[in-house]
Amino acid sequence: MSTSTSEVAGGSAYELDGVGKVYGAGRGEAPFAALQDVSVRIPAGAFTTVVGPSGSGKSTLLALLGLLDQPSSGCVTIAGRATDRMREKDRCVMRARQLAFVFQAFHLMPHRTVLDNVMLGGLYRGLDRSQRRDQAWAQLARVGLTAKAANRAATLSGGERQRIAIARSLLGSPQILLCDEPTGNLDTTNGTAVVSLLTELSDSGLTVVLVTHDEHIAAMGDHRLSVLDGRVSGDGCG
Amino acid sequence: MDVAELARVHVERRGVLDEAIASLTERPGRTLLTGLGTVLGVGVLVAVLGLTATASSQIDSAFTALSATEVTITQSSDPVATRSMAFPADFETRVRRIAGVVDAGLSWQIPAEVAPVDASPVPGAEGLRPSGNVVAASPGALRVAQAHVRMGRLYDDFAQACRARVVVIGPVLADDLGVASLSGHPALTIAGISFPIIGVLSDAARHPELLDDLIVPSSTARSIWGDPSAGSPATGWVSVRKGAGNVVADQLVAAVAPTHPDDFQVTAPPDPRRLRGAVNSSLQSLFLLLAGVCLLVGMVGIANTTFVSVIERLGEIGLRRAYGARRIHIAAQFLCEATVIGFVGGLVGALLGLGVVVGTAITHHWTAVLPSYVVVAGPVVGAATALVAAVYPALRAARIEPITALRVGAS
Repeated sequence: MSTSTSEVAGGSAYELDGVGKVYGAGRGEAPFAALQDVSVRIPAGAFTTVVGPSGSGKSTLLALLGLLDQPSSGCVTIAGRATDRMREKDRCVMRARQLAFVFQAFHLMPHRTVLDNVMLGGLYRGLDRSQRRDQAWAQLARVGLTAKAANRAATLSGGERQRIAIARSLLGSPQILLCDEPTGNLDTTNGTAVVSLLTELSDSGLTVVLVTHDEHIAAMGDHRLSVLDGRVSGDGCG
Repeated sequence: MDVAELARVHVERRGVLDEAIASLTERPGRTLLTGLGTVLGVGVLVAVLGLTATASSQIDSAFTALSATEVTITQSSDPVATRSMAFPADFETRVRRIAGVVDAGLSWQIPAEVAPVDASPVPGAEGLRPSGNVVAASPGALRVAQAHVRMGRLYDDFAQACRARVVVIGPVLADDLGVASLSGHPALTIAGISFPIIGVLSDAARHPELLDDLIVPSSTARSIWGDPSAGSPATGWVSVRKGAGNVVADQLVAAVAPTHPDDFQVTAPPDPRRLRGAVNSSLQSLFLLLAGVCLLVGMVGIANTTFVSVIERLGEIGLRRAYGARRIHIAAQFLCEATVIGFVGGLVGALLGLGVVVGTAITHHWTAVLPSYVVVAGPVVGAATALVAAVYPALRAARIEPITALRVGAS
């Protein structure tokens, strides 16, 4: 992988140019514009928060940033590479190589061990079994959960599950971590601990984009974007 | 990062297999039920093929020993009226000249109204009228029938030549008459003529119907009651060496009646290979159909469970896609899981089928016969059917967009 964290640091992790997302268009339903004409730059290596009320379009924005969905208009550029004409296969590879995700619902496999859950993060990133195992142990140490490696995920608390999800996302050394309401299912103490962990990761050079509706958490980022009725404002908006 | 670099992510195949096995083992109950159809289908398949092979082997060894070594020749009904005894007097001599013939003899039934039987001469059986038929049989016919006595003796060629008035009776009649010994020279009266009982049969492997009859030498019967009547035509019994049945049958009429071959009908022994084929065919077609239905049910079960699994695991599918899995990786995941279930189900089914074959063979004192390829093919068939069954749900899973999977999976 030629694009390292240091390469994108100082530059832009994302550049969005006139991005819009319309749902229901062409299907006989009334079209709904979830995002409209978003032009924004997200700096590399920084902790950017995206805040807005429910239904404002912030999760849609995160899905476009994560190449999980395609914009109806405009272009998303990641680390200098335009993605609007990218093939499905290349989008998958870019997700595997550069992007990582943490979700509100954790998406852990409850009957598997913590170690197995973390190792899954490297399967589609080109790591062999021993590399995945080594990196999983390293990331578990990073989030302070090596003692729980053999436990089934279902036995963990909410805060622990989210830390496991973060550890899983870090296998394969991604450059960008996209977090969709990672504290949404956590109490204040665990939520704060998770944001602190994300701040540490950002300080180590990882680009972190965190979507939240919590103003307090939004204030903890280096940069802040506000989403309201599909329009984005804040630092870096064009 | 250029496009060439992007394309260079290699997903470890063993990792996909590990994931499939892990997914199956974390839901053992469901996995067990999913594989049950394959277990039954492959089990029935192996059992059917094994049982038919084993049964065929028994037909080969038992059937050919008796039935397949006998040819019968009978008078046609029409000529009897004009030529009452179409069989030549030297029937047995002619037939024995045919290569492959072991022995030959003639036999026919004497009508009850012509030869009424009275058991009065036997002490304690006064007035008793035995129900068995009087049968005329040459000594050669008794040898072909593999008749053996439990007491006394069978009449021989000398008695035949002398037209001896003797009778051999079956064991049931002997018991009915209370004949426990022949030392008192018991006799029966047939058509008013006294026939001493010289033997009591114990067995007649080829013609067990003789065990119910009263058997007199054919020459004696002919001298007293004449040639076989139209209603009871004579039958020639010919024992042959194994494998010679059809060859002898082809030559028999020409040897017995070269000038009037239409007067006779020859019954050749059934070809054991043909018989085995018929048994195989009828059994196999029935049970293979059953096995096919079981496999089909198994396939539907796997397809159904895979569909449910896809719906239940939408969140997992979304997560895998978010972490870089391509559509083909998602399809491979579900196909791999189904194939593993099918393979293990096929293996278990093959072993169960093998157990049924061996158990049946032991119970019947048979030798279990099962082509090795059947057992080896069991897991392969199981895996293949499961793979086919999972294709559609796997493709459906692969087509789900990651964002849709994540949203629905989280709800």
